[in-house]
Amino acid sequence: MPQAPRPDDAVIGPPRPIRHLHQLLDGVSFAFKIAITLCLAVMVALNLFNVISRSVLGVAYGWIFSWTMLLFVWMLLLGLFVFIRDRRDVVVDVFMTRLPGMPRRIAGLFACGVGVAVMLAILRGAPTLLKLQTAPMDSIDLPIYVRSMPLFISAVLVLLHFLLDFVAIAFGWSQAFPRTEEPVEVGAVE
Amino acid sequence: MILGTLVIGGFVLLMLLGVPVTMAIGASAIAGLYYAGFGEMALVVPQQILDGAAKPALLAIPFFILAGNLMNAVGLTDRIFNFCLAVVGHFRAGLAYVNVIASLLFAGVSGAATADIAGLGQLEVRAMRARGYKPEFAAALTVATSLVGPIVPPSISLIVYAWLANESVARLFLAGIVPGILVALSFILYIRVVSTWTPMPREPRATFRQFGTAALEGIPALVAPGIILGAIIFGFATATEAGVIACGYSILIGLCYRSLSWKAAWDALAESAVLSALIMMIIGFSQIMGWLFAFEQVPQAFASGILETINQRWIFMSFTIVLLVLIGCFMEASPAKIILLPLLLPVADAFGIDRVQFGMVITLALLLGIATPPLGVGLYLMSAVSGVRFEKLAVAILPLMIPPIIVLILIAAFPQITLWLPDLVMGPR
Amino acid sequence: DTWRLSSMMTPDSFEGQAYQKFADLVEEYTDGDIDVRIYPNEQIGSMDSVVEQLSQNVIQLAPSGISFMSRWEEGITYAAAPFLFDDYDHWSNFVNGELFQSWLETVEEEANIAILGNIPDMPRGTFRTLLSETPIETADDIEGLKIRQYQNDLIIDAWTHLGAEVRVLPWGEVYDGVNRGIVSAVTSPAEAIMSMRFYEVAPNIIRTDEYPQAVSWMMNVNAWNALTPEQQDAMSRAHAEAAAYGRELLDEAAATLKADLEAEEGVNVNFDFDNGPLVAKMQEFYSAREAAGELPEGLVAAVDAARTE
Ligand code: NA
Ligand code: NA
Repeated sequence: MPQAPRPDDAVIGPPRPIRHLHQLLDGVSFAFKIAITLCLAVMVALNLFNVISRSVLGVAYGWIFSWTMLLFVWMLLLGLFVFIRDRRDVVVDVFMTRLPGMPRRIAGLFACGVGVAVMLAILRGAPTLLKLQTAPMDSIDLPIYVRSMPLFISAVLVLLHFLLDFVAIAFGWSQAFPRTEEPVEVGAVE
Repeated sequence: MILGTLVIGGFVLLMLLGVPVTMAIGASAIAGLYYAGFGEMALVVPQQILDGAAKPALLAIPFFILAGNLMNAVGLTDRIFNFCLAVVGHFRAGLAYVNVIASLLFAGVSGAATADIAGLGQLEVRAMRARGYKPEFAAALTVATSLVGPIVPPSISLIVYAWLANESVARLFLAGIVPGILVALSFILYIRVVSTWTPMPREPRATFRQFGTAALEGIPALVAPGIILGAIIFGFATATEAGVIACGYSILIGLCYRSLSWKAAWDALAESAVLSALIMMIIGFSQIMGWLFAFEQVPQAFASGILETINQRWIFMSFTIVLLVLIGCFMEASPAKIILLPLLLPVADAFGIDRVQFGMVITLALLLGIATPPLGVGLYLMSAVSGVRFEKLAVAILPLMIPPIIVLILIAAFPQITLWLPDLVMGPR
Repeated sequence: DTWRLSSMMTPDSFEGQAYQKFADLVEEYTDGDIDVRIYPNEQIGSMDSVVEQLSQNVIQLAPSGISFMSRWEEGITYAAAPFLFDDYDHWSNFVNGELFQSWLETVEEEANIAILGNIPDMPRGTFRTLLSETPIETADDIEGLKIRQYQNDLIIDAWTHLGAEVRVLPWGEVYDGVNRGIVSAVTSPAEAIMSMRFYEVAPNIIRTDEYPQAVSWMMNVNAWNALTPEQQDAMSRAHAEAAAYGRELLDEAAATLKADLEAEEGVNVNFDFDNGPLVAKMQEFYSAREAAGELPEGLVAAVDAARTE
């Protein structure tokens, strides 16, 4: 979610193409959230079916375990972009929010830079890894790289996310480490 | 040694500079990789993230996270709590005791501490908060008490140790029961002592009628652990599937009481998926660090020099405890165990330490790591579940580490604590 | 130079001792030029990721089952085909035969992975066994047996054909799975019975000779080619001697295994189980697959040829 405008934010907003990019990333994040929710729903449904079928009919299906693992991995890897975009990652900003304007801005730029570097390091290994994973998985007739692919898709999106943040802080469109209220319960149901 | 300091120091520094935790872990590990001259091994970074996050043993975590969210959504958790409140609420700090006992009960069902935090954490913190406990105390207590989970059987940690040490799983499972109860008791004692000088809320004593209502309404909730436990014991489900059973049961109850809407179910699923991703990716990123440490044999370098100078049993035990608690602050328990056991076991044998007792010491010592900053998965999970800030939680948990550390020392000093029950049931050897 | 060797086993297992022997011998024969560093217990990753690291020369040696190479050549799976081979010699002839060696060449071209020494030199365990809760006296007792297997289509189909009800469980969950009745039987190499403590939960043990197993010393080809001929020779000698040492340890363990197991309370060992009916029943299975064109080309002929040699 884009950060809500705050009184102490700079007056000038980002230009139109940047805003469009933000909307695009938000849209992808929304779609991914639906996808990972469905992954979890199918995982639970399949395994519940397996448990019941095994205890009532005495029949269990081996492919369910393989598919559960695949869905599990997809859920985690696509979820990487979702929780980064939703700013759910754990951040210790207790010191940073106390810094005055300029150092704080530099720290904000630095944090984004670290994110970009990590994603580049992940993407750098992609060609080698994918080339080694062309064989089919056990009991699922898909190449092994199908399991790893979402990591690299997420990495590209997270890279874009941090780049946009970097630009926004650099040009003063948004503030580094905005002071947030003590977050309230984020449990599913209140 | 230099490499280890660089990576760990870099991680702590990045975190304090406000870098998101997943990125801080990844960046310090990758920097270490380049420093050690493995920069050209680009493949290792994505590979270890995938390897670390996608372990079948971790599959239970999203299921238990979802079970916790669903139980909240259908109101099952409120019922458990109302019942516990009616029973012990009138004691000072009654809810804090409930937290400990609930963890002990849950320990008999789950095999991992994270599952406990995910399954019970939200509800315990919410309930304690609503009744006037400090949020960070409630959250820290929940993380600390979850340590009971992997000591009491079933336990993934003990199975890993049994394989590494060529030891009987049955014997280890039996050995975990007394220490598990001791850890729970140590928390009860701690709360009792602390509440003599810190004001802790207490509830009015329930009337007989209130008690009856709470018990009646609590029945479907109270039998839930029994059903899950039964499903595992009688072989309807594996330990991984136990969380699925809990989900299914919650949905069933929700249908019966018509308290589960499509919207609530979807929200619970979405929240659980995001939360699982967060925790698993932290584990995945820290696997790069684990790989680097294993590859460069960092913990061994740290330990082996000192090990050679140790000539007494109690010094060895003390060293083991200090080493593992320290390493647990920066590494996941399983990889730490896998890396260090080949080094420690021969020495333990030489001192005539029983491998079952040694396993319990190692398991509990490394377990503390999930609750200790800076790299404590339990703390991250709790922070994400409850919204309590990580740094507050990290401070609040420190005094709560005292009771389990005392138990740890007792287990190390007195073999009988672990060995009494297995010797009684399976015969001494 | 440092050669990094990754293993799935603990240092005090017989395999672990053989690897240590290898490291010591390499040091001796190369006058310390080559330092073999051992990573036991899957310390640097699951076998699947170790294989990827091996292919990239991140590590140089990974001794384990050859089936991990089936990622690059499917036929290799059949080295562990249940009840396809008569005995270890038959299997050895097959593995060293033309067809299997041509498969290994494919792997070398695609993945930069070759094999150090002769595969059958180091058996992985003496024979395969089946452990169950209730005694198995004849092949018919397998009918309806809830048996644990690993995720492998060939193995699952084969045991299903034998009448068992196959359930897939990770190796680490097997003990617990039998204990709770999710499965009531498990197949295992003889040597793992003691270390995994399966006899505590499944005390009826029969010898099945399901398929022979050996430790293949998979290594990175580029690392090998970078060695001088003298160093290569030193490595080969060290391998042959370490493998011989492994066989020695294995023989010692096998000599006492039956007695050791029978000394445990309630354990019932039958190492003279007649697997003839199982082999016969599996021949139908392989014939049907051959007729359907589902077997690798030339497999049946190569298996037959290995028998008459
Ligand atoms: Na447990
Ligand atoms: Na608790």
